Amino acid sequence: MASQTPLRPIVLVVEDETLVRFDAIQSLEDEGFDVVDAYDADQALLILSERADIAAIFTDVHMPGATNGLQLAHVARASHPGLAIVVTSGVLQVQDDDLPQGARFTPKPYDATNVARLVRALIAQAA
Amino acid sequence: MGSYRDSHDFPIGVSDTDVLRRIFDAHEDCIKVLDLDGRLVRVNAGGVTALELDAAADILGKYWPDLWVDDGKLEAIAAVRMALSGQPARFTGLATTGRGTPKWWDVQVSPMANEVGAAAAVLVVSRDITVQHTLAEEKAAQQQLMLDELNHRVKNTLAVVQGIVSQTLRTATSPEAARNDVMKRLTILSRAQDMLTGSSWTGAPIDDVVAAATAALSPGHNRIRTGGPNVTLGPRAVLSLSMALHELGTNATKYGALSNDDGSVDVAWTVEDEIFSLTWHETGGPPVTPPTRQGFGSRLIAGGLARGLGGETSLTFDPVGVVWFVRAPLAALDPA
Repeated sequence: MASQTPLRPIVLVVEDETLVRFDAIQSLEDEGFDVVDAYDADQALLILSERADIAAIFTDVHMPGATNGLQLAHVARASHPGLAIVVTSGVLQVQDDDLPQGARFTPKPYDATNVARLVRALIAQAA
Repeated sequence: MGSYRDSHDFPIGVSDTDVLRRIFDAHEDCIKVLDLDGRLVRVNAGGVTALELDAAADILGKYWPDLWVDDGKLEAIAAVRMALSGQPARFTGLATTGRGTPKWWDVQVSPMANEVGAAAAVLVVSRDITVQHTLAEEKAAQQQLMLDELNHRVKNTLAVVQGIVSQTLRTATSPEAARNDVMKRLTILSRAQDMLTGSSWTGAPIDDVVAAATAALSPGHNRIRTGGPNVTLGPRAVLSLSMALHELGTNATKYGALSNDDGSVDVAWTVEDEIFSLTWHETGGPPVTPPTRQGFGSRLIAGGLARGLGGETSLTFDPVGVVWFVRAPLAALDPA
């Protein structure tokens, strides 16, 4: 797997607030990732099912639609065992027990540099 | 109705006992008498009705605390014990009626002593407060809901502020520019929030969003022409479009069609087949040269806005004038 990891790993950013998503996208791109993005869980799951090159998912918990970010994380873990998963929320203090195996939580507001480091470490673990 | 012997006296032929019995039966509160073991020995007609019984006999002889649910049972036991020791007691509890209706009661329990002062029975007066209790619970639930919503909104606003500040700092050319840009962008955010507060955060008409953005530029008569159908934008779209129009306006004022005396801007939008399109079109400004570096504004208007809305944007530095185009499904602009 390691040899196939592209130089710029692809992160799927899932966030409903446009300006927050914009910041996450720009920051992660500045930190050396390529970013695809979704504004809700359904859109994120569609992207995950269509693309095999997503290395990590960075998702908010509260989003419009039937599926929240935590549920999305569990569904994504089940379908993509090697995916690096980072969950964030400004409202919920998510406990490790609530997360799928190997996923990590970071509270909002987050420092994009730390998120990037976390994502990189999880991708390295999965490789 | 008979004559009165005295204005302070009972009518002839009616005894104190008769009056008390009438009060006992006619009272709509549930009035009960318990024996020293806490068993029901009397219940009034009002109680039979309030407890949805067929007859008083349905509950006579039963241990009164058994009528209560959960904590109410413990409260009832304690109240009987208090009364037997000569002290009154009062509690609020939940009990189910004979037909299974849960009801909330305000209960007053008092001792009844015999001639020599020893406890002889316990008097229980229970008032059905289900309506008040339900209202109070609904009000508390509503308040909690509002607090949760408020908390969510504040957190969300902080996240947006953080995003704006983070992006402004990442792309700023100098601390002064960063300070200036952060202040301006937070002002735009604040104004957009005002627009949303007016509608309880359901959204705002695009006319208002565009009017607010262009009014802030105050370029002079007829230099910005706007037009399009009525569209209501959801909260997120209001914030991001306000921000994008501010960035476009700032750039136009600094380098574009609003930087001279003759240029103008057309802002036009359409809705066709549930697809929303908006064009910002500058003409008459100095010849346009593409910027050499990407700041917050150009990053936002070049792609940040439409990405994720299932839409697209294009920013063209046509020598004749900047053209910005955004297209997104109407549903994505007004998510429920």
